[in-house]
Amino acid sequence: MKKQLSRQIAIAIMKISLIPALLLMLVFCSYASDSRGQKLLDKKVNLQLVDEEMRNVFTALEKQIDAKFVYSPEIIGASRKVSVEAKDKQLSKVLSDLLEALNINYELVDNYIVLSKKTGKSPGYHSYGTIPDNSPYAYVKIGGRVVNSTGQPLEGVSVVVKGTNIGTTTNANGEFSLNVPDPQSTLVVSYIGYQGQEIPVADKTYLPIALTAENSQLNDVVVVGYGTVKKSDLTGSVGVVNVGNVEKVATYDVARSLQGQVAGVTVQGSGEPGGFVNIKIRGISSLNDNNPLFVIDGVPIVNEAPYDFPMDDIESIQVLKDASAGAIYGSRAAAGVIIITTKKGRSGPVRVKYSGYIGAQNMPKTLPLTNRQQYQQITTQAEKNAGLPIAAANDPSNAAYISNTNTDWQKAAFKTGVIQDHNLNFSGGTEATSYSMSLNYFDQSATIKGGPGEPKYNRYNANASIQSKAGILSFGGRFAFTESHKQNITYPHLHPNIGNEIVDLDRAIPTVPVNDPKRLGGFGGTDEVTQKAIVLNVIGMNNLMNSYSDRNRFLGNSWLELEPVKNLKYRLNLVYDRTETRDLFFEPQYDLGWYYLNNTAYLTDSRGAQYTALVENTLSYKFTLGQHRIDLLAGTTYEKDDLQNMTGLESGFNPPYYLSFGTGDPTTASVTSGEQRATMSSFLGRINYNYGDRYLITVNARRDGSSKFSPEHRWGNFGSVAGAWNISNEKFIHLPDAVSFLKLRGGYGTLGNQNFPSYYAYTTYINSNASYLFGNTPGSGNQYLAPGSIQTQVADPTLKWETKTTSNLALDLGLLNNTLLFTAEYFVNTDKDLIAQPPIPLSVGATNTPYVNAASLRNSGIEFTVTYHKTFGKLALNIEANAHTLKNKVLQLGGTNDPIYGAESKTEVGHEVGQIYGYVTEGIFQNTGDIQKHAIQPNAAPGDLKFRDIDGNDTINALDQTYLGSAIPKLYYGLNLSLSYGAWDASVFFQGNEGNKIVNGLYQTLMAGQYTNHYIDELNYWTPTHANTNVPRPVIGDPNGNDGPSDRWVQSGTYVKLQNAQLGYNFPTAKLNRTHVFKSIRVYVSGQNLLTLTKYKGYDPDIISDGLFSRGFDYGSFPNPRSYMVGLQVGF
Amino acid sequence: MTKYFFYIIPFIALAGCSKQLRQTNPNQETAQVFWKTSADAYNAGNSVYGSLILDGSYMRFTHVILNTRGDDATSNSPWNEIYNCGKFALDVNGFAAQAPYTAYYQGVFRANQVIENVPKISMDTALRDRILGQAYFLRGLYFFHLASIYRNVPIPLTIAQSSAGYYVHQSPQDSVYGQAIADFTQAVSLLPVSYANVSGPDQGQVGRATKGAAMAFLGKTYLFIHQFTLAAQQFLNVIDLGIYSLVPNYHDNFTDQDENNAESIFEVQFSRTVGGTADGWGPNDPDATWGKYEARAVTFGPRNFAYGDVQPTKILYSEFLQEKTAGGATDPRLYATMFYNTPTMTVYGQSFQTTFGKNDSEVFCRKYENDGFYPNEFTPAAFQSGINYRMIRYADILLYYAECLNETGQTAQAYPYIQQVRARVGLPDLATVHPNMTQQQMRDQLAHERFLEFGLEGRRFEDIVRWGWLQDPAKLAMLQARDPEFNTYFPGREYMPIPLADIQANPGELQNPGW
Repeated sequence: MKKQLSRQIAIAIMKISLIPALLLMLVFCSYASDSRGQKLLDKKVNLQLVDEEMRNVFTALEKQIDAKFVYSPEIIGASRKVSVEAKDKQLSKVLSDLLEALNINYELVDNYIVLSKKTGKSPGYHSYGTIPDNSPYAYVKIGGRVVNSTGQPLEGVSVVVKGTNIGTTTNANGEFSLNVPDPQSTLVVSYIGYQGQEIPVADKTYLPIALTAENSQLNDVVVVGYGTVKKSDLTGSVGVVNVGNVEKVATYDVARSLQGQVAGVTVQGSGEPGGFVNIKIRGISSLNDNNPLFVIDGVPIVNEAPYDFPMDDIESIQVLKDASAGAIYGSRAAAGVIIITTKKGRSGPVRVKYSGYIGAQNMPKTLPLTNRQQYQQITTQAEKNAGLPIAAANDPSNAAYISNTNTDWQKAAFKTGVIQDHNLNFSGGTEATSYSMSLNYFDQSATIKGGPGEPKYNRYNANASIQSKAGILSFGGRFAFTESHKQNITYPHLHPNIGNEIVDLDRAIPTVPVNDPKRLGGFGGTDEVTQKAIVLNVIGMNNLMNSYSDRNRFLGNSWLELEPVKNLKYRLNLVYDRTETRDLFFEPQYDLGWYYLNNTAYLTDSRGAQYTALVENTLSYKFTLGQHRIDLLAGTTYEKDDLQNMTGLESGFNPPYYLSFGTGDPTTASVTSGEQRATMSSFLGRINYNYGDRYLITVNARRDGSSKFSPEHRWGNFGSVAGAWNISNEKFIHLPDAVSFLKLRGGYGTLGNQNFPSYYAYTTYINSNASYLFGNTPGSGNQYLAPGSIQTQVADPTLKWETKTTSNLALDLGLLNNTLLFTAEYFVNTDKDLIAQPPIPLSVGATNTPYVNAASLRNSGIEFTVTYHKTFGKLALNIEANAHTLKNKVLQLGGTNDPIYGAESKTEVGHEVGQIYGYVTEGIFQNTGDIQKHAIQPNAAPGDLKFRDIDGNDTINALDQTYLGSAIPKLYYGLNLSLSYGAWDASVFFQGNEGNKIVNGLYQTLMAGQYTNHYIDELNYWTPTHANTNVPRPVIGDPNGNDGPSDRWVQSGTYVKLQNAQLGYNFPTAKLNRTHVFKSIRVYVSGQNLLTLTKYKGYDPDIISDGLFSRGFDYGSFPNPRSYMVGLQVGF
Repeated sequence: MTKYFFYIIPFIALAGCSKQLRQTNPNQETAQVFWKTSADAYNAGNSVYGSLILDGSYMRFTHVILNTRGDDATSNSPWNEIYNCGKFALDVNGFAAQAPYTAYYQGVFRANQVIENVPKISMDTALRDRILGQAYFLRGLYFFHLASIYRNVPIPLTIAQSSAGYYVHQSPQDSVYGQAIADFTQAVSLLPVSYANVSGPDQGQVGRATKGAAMAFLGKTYLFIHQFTLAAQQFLNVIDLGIYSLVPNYHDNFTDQDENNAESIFEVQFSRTVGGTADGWGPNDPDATWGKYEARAVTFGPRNFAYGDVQPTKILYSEFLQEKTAGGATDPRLYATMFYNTPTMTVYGQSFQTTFGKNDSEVFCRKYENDGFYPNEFTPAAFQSGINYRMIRYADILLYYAECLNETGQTAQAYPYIQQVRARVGLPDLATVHPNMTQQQMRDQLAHERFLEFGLEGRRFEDIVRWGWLQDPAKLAMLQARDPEFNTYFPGREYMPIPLADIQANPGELQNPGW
């Protein structure tokens, strides 16, 4: 039977077809009910120990079996000396021979053998502390509950009366009850990985106890890709995220939650519901996609990774920052790797947990903009200065003068949004098989108004994981389905937006009403003749237009692992990640005033699907030879990415509107479609070598091939080496007592990157839509389409892999028994041959900018992380701080080293990417004499800005621009403070950056002095009688370029934010027990983005930009909302 | 137990298969397999025309830059790119500077491909010559625009094989005109007089470049570099073809009712109905959904009915009133050119005076507008006018020829050619009204005739530049008096700025003086 089955497995897998493999898993799940526990106990062991402490016996046994012993040393008397002799003897026999005599029970739970004192009564494994009936003492019954520093209950904690054998362990809810001989006794509370505590009973009958993790971070197992390693054994650069802190962030996006949490990680975001964020590890490492690779439970997620993933499912997060750590993910790891492990089921009865929050969000700030009268004053002045007649609506002497409308657009549009998140989790299992299933619902509505088209985002997620083990085979899978709906910010398709939602809102003039029943659609707009302003009624636009994106995503991965020989493991990992998308855009007929008039209702509906299929095979072996410990890993991976889309288009719909094709004008209907496919294949290998826990070396090598390059440039070889010296384990070095841990680490390596969005960039192709039309009869209007095909784009066939070289040097220091941990790292990364699309001369005549190996960059910086955990009685304190610096330098740009220009920025060799660039102002021309004395500014008049003649040629032109500041902060930092006291816990999180500049593009457009609305500062404009000002005259047409790129718009981007504050309360277990329903309840209130200290004049210095060439340019980034939330976490 | 472990081994090997890394684009034909058949050559040839109908070319912005800078048009647009154009105050990196430049070079790129690849295709030689002739004609046309609008520009004549080939040096304006002359000369020799009787897929088509069109532009290019004898020869050749004539109704040149007519020598084809419904603004990659319509009408048309970004000047209006027809009526070209305050004037079917008041200061563009056929330029959709643009018409040839005759000392011989143009609209015989003009008087007369005949057709600023008026203080003062936009003219700015983006991307390329 078994043999046949194994053949089935092999055949099925060789088909590389996912579905058979999945079916097989299901078959296996039912088959695997075979008790794994019994097998363990039947296992033969060999042992010969004489007069050895009992604890050492257990340690010796642990090395031979795949299980751990769990016990309270005091209760079982673990330091008693015993002798054991076993030759090929069943474990059960060895244990019973040894323990029977000592009056100790054992029981198998999961992978643990739990030892307890025999009581004569039936032994529940947490009830061994009950007192024999014949005890001579007068006992007092007490109870209590043990939680960790974040308030989560701890199960299996040993609670012993000091100086006695009386004790117990906590149950799944962290609760214990105990009969103590004396109300003045002291309890010794201990738990593996946590700091022990002694707690005086002091006549109390209920004791809430909080334990703090003890030097936990050093013993923590860190997931590093195709394996795990103890943090103290790390050689590469890995940041471990405190998930407790991350989970406090109310967001749909894991990437967003990492802001300020890890040294070296920067996150830029906006407040648009469902909007993406920019996340960078150690600066810009690519000119395309700087988002790191997300690996969820060992599955590299290629497409928009963190986006469809609920926060509640996260068990741990690690950030791999250098080539040594990331090498194993190779060609996807150049921008760093974020490894997420999800919560797994554990054996035991089904556990049900609910967690959720609901909150209100609003705009933290409104900008001071001009009201009706102020607007009319400035615009009238601008017209007078240009010699133009005054717009009738602004002219009090005209019949069309508007004096009865004074719309405050911000007030009209901003509203309170609602954010909520609900998560329900079921988990449990047997010794062999465990499962976890969760359901998640997230919903966020915008802080800006607008009917059906107002931005919002919601998401449903179902997620199930299962793992099982049968003999040498273990296997499992995780299957997640996500459905999300995002209402997009939308613009009329025929009227390209002048700004964006925020820019257009603020530019809207006060003399336009929000609602205007006279216009088609019912919303206000400007009048061409009397108002002359082109502005968009954003509220009307949101109400009239409909644009949404639906995503349905299935992410499945199945793995199986075979261990035919002890420590020799073969693992197969199959991943299928498919996202189906629908993007609908509909625009009815409407009249939103001048320019925004639409007579033709228009519908596009795009359907797309993209999938990534991934097959990974790895073979690993580890062994120990005396002091030498060696882990070997080799593997291959094959990946296929496919993108398909189809877009339909039709116009000519009439009310009542139905958003389906065929109900408009069918002659306008058209369809376009396309598909792209890329494949990647890699071979990889890794050696981890450890000598006596003192000297550690990691070597990685890999060979990657990608279909995105021409056959001559397809393959790349990459490798890394890293080492560490664990000084505190060195016998010949005696460190001061205060130093409990000291390690030096360093590494060097290269990685390849092919992560740019074009799949066929090295080939040129023919565009067959370059058609034209001709007439068929002279003098008539009869015309017909003449097909046109031609190469319209250019491509560079010499395109090749990007190479990233990283160097990392680090020091890890643990002080005061590791209550204080400190890490400092220095890194230098060099990115060569970065693939980008730098501008090419327009004279090439191409419609594209081709991908070329365009640049080399260097990033360097220092990172600090400090953590401090300490418990003072009931008070547990936890401080985590991180900071990093970043320096960026462009080493080379394309073949010609031509600079690349962005929005008021320039990227040039020897400077940093996206450095702010523009004119330097030197005040205002007061009179024509001033102008004549100055370098030639052809269109200047008194009241205009004077620009500095940088090149000294006596003429102001484009060559007179210069660098105006850095868009990259000198320092990024985050500080988490949390403390718990009994049932209460509280935390605050500050995050900020320092020393960068932002070009405030929104302020720029509001200070243009044209027909659109103004920032209040514009009132201070120059006139001959108001000369003492730095605001130039407003003038229609702005002939002097006062509104152009200059230091006028460069503002400090330094800020500190109170990103999060939270206060939580755990209900006492004793009360909950009476309900027989609830096992634990925690409630909390929290606030997000509560306070921002900044001098920045925009809405929010935490902006989203292109993150690259125009990284410092804020053009109406959607402000991050301020949120107030209440949350609930319940265990059933 | 361990046996089935080994079933897996072949699978590991399979995963690294190199063959899987070969992926070809399933959506489009690669350039490597194209250029094989006569259909490839034909389709490629058609595509070269496509650059005429982009936003930067004759869909919209070439009209803006050619018209607003003249004294026949002005702008009160709220869009700086239009407003500042005629005021010589453009943003060197703005849309108006960049879009036409981009559109013309896209056309050059296409033409270069045809000229390089089509001769290698084995096909009907007559068809091949016609395709090549059109490619040379269009390349010449694009270089002519680049030279006359942007002055000193690169002359790419081959296709870059890799990124190293993208950086072509800037050439002086004379060389660019020289290249246009060479291309037009090739086109004259290769193109047919008409496609009516050719055999091939282009049989019977109108709107394609003909020998006459090539001669006309060859002549125009010579005229621009003041080679009057050579220019005269070409214009005479066009006249001698004997196939062109003035259409009786002047206004028929500017509607979609009488396109590709006998007066039209080369026109850009637009249609409301043929092609897709999305705006093919360019300069991005052409899409199947792109419409083939133009946006001049909605941009130039009267406010309330269009955007009103460009308006006629008052001087254009008043100069029309200087001379009555032989029958004592107002020159009918005034009515075809603009909407103005007169009791009978209707604007898209509505009374001018009701809409704009009895206001003489209000004048709006009518030429190339859909007045009389649609209620406004937003219906059924904005930007979707289908009126072909007559890039060169027989009236051009007659007046250009007359000018060449005058410049070469044959002033008296110029009269009849000018009178043909005047007679169409009923103006009295010039030889009677202004007999025996001197060469200078004739120049002024031609300036007047051209101003009226071609008002709002983008010819005026070309004339001002090639006549050197901007360098002549008296003429400049006159222009400033006629159109205050010339008050902010700055020497050198008769040429558009080379787009800053191109200067920044192409080492050694210099900005035009004055910018």
